[in-house]
Amino acid sequence: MHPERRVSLAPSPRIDLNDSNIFMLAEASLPCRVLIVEDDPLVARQLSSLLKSGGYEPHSASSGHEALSVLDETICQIVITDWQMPDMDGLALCRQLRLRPVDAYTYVLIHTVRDSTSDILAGLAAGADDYLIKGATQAEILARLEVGRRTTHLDRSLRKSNEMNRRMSVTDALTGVHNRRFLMKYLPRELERSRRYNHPLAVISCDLDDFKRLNDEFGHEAGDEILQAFAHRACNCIRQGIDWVARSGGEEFVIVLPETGLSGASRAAERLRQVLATEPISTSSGLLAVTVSMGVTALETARDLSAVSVRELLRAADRYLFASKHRGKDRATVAAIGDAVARPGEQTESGRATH
Amino acid sequence: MRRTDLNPGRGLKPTVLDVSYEDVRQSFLLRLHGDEVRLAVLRDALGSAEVSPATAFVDLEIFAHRLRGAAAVFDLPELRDAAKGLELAAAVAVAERSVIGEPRVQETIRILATRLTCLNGYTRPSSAPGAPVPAN
Repeated sequence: MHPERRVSLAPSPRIDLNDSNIFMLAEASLPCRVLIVEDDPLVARQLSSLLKSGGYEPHSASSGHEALSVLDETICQIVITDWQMPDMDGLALCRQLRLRPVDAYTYVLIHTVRDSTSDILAGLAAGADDYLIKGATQAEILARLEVGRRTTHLDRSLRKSNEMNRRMSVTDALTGVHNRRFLMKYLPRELERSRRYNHPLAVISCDLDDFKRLNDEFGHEAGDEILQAFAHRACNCIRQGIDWVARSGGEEFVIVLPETGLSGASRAAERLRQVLATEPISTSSGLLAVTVSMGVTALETARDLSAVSVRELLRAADRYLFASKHRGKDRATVAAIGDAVARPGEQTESGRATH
Repeated sequence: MRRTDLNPGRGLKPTVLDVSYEDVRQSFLLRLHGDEVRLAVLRDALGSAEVSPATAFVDLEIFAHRLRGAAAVFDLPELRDAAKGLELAAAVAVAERSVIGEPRVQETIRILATRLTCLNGYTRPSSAPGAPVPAN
């Protein structure tokens, strides 16, 4: 099987929302890597020595082509490049760098003896951030590099912050699993991929039994702890990096299982039911017995995959969930997508009623 | 004191953080001996039947540009200016497809060679450290 097909579209479901602060601290202590692109080895040595003294981590290349090779292997925040060099010159290097897709901005400083206004304009137009004429004092070189260090640090901080915001926007803050927005964004993609490869796709709709009563009786804090514990256990009952969990409402969760048919989803649901039913949840109000009702369904045939929408899939899972509630809770009702009404003999039940 | 190539002016001193700056600069000064020889070879190539005039001028331009840049970095402004003069003259000769012996190029070669000779005279081991360098 193609490896791409076995990996879920969903990113890791659990994140630490305080990651951004940790990142800021880690960033501040990291050395700033500078690539010196210079064909004169003595000039390169002189710059390297200066950079080390300024707390930078210098790397070197003697031409534009070599610089690109180095940058393929090593992330350098700043490139300080000569203009005139064999094969690819500094301006061509600038243009190449600006064309490359990057995860982080590279600050480019041209360091050349060409000192005319037209040269400076050409350098900046090629994509350089700064232009330094050879012969500048060491203090000036370090000051200009500091601008690059600040700029790239800010760029990385912003990118990381944006990524954290993006992840937070699709993550349930209480439980750390995905939220409803994520569910409605990524479940259609999972369905689309299942259609493309004609592979099954299953969903489990979960609802914690008597949650309102537990919440009222033991308080919101205990209620939150129950939700967190359930999310944690659900994540441990599924395949990491393939299946994923989303909190779709107050005490409602949806588990998405790509590449999984009805029988596989049924086993996963039963695992989760047993884990919850046999191990009370430790809360600030003591150990609490919690159970879950589930509705399990799957798209297994090409016909179902092409005919059923995401909403219909979720609606069917909810129908079977309500059937579980109706039949006494603490169970999973498993049925094919076409079963509008669960009928005896056409559904598999697990849980209290059958054990 | 008059500012000369080996007597840097204000603001051009290495910082205390950069302990090996002088070592690298000394290496550069020693390399100037090779540059003096190289310049003589390039000058001879201008009159050689084995090298096309265009190639000879381009080689001169590249050589002068490299020397100009390094001289600027290692704080030798007079050498930098002499190299710049040769670089520009060679560039003009390339652009105008000048014939061998173009007077301006020869003149700038002479100026640069003088500078290199002066510096090399200063940097040879027998020279007294700190001796002033003659003006161009």
